[in-house]
Amino acid sequence: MRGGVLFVENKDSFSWNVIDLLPVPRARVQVCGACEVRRDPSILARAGVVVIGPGPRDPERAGLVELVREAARRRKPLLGVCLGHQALGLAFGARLARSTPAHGETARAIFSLSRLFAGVRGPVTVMRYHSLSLRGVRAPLRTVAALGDGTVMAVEHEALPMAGVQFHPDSFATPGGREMLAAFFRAAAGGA
Amino acid sequence: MRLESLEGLASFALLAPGYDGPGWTLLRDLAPVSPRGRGARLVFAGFEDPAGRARVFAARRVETVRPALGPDPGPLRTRLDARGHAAKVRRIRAAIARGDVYQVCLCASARLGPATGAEILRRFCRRGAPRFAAWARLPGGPEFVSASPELFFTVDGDRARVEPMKGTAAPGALAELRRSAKDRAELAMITDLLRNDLTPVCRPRTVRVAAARRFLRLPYAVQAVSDVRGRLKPGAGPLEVLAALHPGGSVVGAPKRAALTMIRALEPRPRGAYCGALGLARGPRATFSLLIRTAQRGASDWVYGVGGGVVWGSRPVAERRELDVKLGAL
Repeated sequence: MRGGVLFVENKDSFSWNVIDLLPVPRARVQVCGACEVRRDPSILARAGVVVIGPGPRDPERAGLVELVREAARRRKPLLGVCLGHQALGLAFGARLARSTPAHGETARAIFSLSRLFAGVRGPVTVMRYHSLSLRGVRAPLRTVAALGDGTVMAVEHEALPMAGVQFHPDSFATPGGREMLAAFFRAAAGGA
Repeated sequence: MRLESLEGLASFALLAPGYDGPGWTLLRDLAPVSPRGRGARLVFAGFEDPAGRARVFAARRVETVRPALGPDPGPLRTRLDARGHAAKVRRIRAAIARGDVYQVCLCASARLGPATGAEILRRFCRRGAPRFAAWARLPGGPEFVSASPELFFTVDGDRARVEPMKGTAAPGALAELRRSAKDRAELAMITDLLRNDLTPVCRPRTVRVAAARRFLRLPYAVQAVSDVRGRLKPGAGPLEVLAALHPGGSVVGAPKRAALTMIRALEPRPRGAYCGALGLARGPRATFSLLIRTAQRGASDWVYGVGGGVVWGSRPVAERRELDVKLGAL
């Protein structure tokens, strides 16, 4: 992997859990707010992988959708977690709708065959912290994991190295979280 | 030791065995010292105090005492001010639905009294002393009596441990607590929040959940806690851990910044010592409690905070009623 990881921090209380889960040394992770990244384009230009972290509010208000589009133009590998996943969806034509808030509740996400989460298959226990979720996921994105009721839990881009997870791989209650991130980094960024 | 003998002292801290057992610790004549001092140090941060600005005191005398905690003076006179509480709960739920916040710990306050500090501590300890019972009069204020059962964190050398607590039941109602999905979700959220807060002061990938949910059996209640442990970075000690964790996630909500903004907008007065932190540090070891169930002396009486975590599943009327139940215990 060339360059370090740019972690876009969204004033959340789970950000450091994601940072600690990344398969790279902490010294190679640059933590920036979305405003900072918008003001200084060189931050995105230098990044090897972009990880957009979780956070409150919605991705439009948090200023993240444009950031995803810019990363796509530059063909940067990008992983969105929760709010970051929603930003990825909005940038490629999905909608965001309110769902029953689930904060601190685990669920079983059914993974189908995916390009960027190779090896993650079938029902997986995941921790949820969200009250909004993506609807109408369409090309170039596709849904790669969902709950039994259809709530979208993960998406990936058909061609670009971009994916998002609605759940929290960083939670202590998502047992396979570290492996999921490692799989994404291997597939999208050619390893750490 | 007679508790009344403390009334005449200018400053002191009487701490239950949970801080530095096996006995109670009495620190007399407190004076501010540099954080890096040696010997026993008392550390305090009020809820509104900025992280990293804790006050540190040394005592002229530190002794192990056996305070006379009986007899129970009987119920305290309580007057709750919870105007608009149900409406505030509704506002928080609307913010949760919008995605602005996941949980907010909302508090109200009651007046206790007239009563002496000794009477309040005796009342708090009538069914056995809570693990972190304390009575402290700090130089320049505040003075408070606490019946906290909540360990905030311990540090021993480079080992840090936090023990977030969510969910309380009467001693006979363990099965009900075990089944409560709402309590389990709240504890899980606070556990992830404290992992997050502890991580920047720990070496990478050393923060782990040693127990996701265990039940503490206390003489008067059963409580659900989790255990989060980490190995501190070189140079990080009790004050760095306090700066990273303060104010404690279990009395704020998540995410912290958004929850604090709502607390400031909704609560009519500062919490003060209530929901702050009190710790005793000796050399490389320190134990801090989170000052829940705490009464602070005001100009004419004592102010006692009561509150609870508001989540999507909270019902406004039930939350309001819970305040009366919590206060009724006094």
